[in-house]
Amino acid sequence: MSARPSKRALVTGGAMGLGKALSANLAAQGWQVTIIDRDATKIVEKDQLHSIKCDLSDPVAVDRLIEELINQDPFDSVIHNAAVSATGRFETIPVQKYHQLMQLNVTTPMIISSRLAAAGRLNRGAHLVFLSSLSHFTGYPGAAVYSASKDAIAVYAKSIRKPFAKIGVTVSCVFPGPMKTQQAERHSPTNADAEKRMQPETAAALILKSVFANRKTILPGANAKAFAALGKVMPIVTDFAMRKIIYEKLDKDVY
Amino acid sequence: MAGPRNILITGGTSGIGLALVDRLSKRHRVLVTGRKISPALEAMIVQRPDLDFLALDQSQPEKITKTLTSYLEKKKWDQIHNAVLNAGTGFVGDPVHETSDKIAQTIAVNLMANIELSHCLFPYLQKTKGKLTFVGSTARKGAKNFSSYAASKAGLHGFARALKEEWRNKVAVQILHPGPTKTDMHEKAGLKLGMIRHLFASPEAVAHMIENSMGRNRFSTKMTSFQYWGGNHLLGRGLR
Ligand SMILES: NC(=O)c1ccc[n+]([C@@H]2O[C@H](COP(=O)([O-])OP(=O)(O)OC[C@H]3O[C@@H](n4cnc5c(N)ncnc54)[C@H](OP(=O)(O)O)[C@@H]3O)[C@@H](O)[C@H]2O)c1
Ligand SMILES: NC(=O)c1ccc[n+]([C@@H]2O[C@H](COP(=O)([O-])OP(=O)(O)OC[C@H]3O[C@@H](n4cnc5c(N)ncnc54)[C@H](OP(=O)(O)O)[C@@H]3O)[C@@H](O)[C@H]2O)c1
Repeated sequence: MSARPSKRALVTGGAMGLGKALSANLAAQGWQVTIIDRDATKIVEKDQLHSIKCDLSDPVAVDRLIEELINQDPFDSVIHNAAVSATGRFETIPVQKYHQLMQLNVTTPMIISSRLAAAGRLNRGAHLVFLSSLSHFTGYPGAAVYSASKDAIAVYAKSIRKPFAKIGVTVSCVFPGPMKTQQAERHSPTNADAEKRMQPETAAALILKSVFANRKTILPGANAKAFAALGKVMPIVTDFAMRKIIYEKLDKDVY
Repeated sequence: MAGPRNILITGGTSGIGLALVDRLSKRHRVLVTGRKISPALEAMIVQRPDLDFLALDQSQPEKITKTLTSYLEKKKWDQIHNAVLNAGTGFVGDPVHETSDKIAQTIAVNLMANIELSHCLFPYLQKTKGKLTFVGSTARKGAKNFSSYAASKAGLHGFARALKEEWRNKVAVQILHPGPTKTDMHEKAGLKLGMIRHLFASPEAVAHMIENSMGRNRFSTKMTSFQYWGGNHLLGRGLR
């Protein structure tokens, strides 16, 4: 091993899906990775992977977590990956689910970012990464609150990029299209074609490459880039298409 | 629809909301909500029998449905024609030092409370095939020293965009984005404005544009002094 101490990353929701792939990729590159997840038993602790159990949709637990993180060494990379979705008719899903969703997907990552930054727990040269969704460009009827959360976090990332650059931190926002993870599995119409979705390991590699190239907007893969471009030029077309392809085919509420 | 409507307006105690209450309560039955009643609204209520106030603090979104539905029951409103979700708050400052409380409050009041309200109001609006109007902001595209405010308004736009498709043929959904407006919001947000304030639209002008948009079939539009001078308020005939 080299004498240089390894870099430290924080990844939320790293027990499964994309978060797991991001954590594994960083560990393989020699990073020390702290994973936050509500179910830490799913995480196999290794030399470079450490876990902290926390329900990130609970503001009190998040406050405790932040105190703990502030007492540790600073981070070189923080990836706000944990999120949940809620798909179905907006009005039939219990509103309590939306409160948890918004807390987890929006309020928590914003609070963790500003608290770590204010406490000097982001090293100069650090990367701060937010996970939005391709829905930011295409609209997403059938997931009204999820898409609201992903639009909010995207614009937060955009807004803080310059102020955080002043403390030497680069902010990136990722807009993934469908990936082959549990989240996508649960929330897609029953007979949707899973083969078209990107493997999380492939997405993780593309994402990290762009993060370390200081990219502001990250669209992993050619399909994501194409749909984002279409949504920007013709939002009415993508709104209509998303309603036909997704909303009208949703056969169940999932939350 | 002609004849008086049942209209709900949130954040109608000052600024744009108050100006809209003033316009609409001349011809319609209006229920106004806000944190607490203001002298200006109180004076208006004394003169207009079909104008009413309910205290509804949006920083605790989970409590909204219960308070509002029991009030509507008491008031014997089982249907609503228009709801204008206008209440909003924000704090100006470097996002590196924005406190957890300010972040949480901005998301709660501007975004989560409006989601809770939409959920609660759906059955009332569906009965009239009514219209849900959100008040967003041109800051929704991003604002570096108004980051969580910008985020909350971007979320609101995305929410409205999805809901408009979901509720097609049931309840119309629109979101209107004012630009800088001469209200107390900037001072409340911690911003001292100089001469530039004179370029801002008046709350009355913005309320005028909102009313006209409510009467038209527009999903989203900006409402700045530029739009006003351009004649936006002359389009449409308002809400009959
Ligand atoms: N998959 C897609 O197609 C897709 C598309 C666009 C964007 N994204 C975004 O990409 C990111 C990763 O998605 P994914 O598909 O990998 O999701 P996933 O498979 O559902 O994994 C999410 C991870 O977050 C954890 N988590 C959920 N709620 C939590 C909470 N309250 N506290 C702490 N941890 C919690 C989950 O733990 P549990 O196992 O305990 O639930 C899980 O480990 C998300 O931000 C998602 O919105 C995904
Ligand atoms: N002024 C601008 O330049 C501008 C530009 C773009 C968009 N907007 C938007 O326009 C809307 C109206 O703002 P305004 O300029 O008229 O500002 P304002 O005069 O401050 O009015 C805001 C209204 O929202 C209410 N409110 C604030 N926090 C609340 C809470 N926790 N619970 C319930 N009600 C609450 C206020 O009540 P209190 O009096 O009790 O605070 C007031 O009635 C807002 O959504 C704002 O974001 C304003």
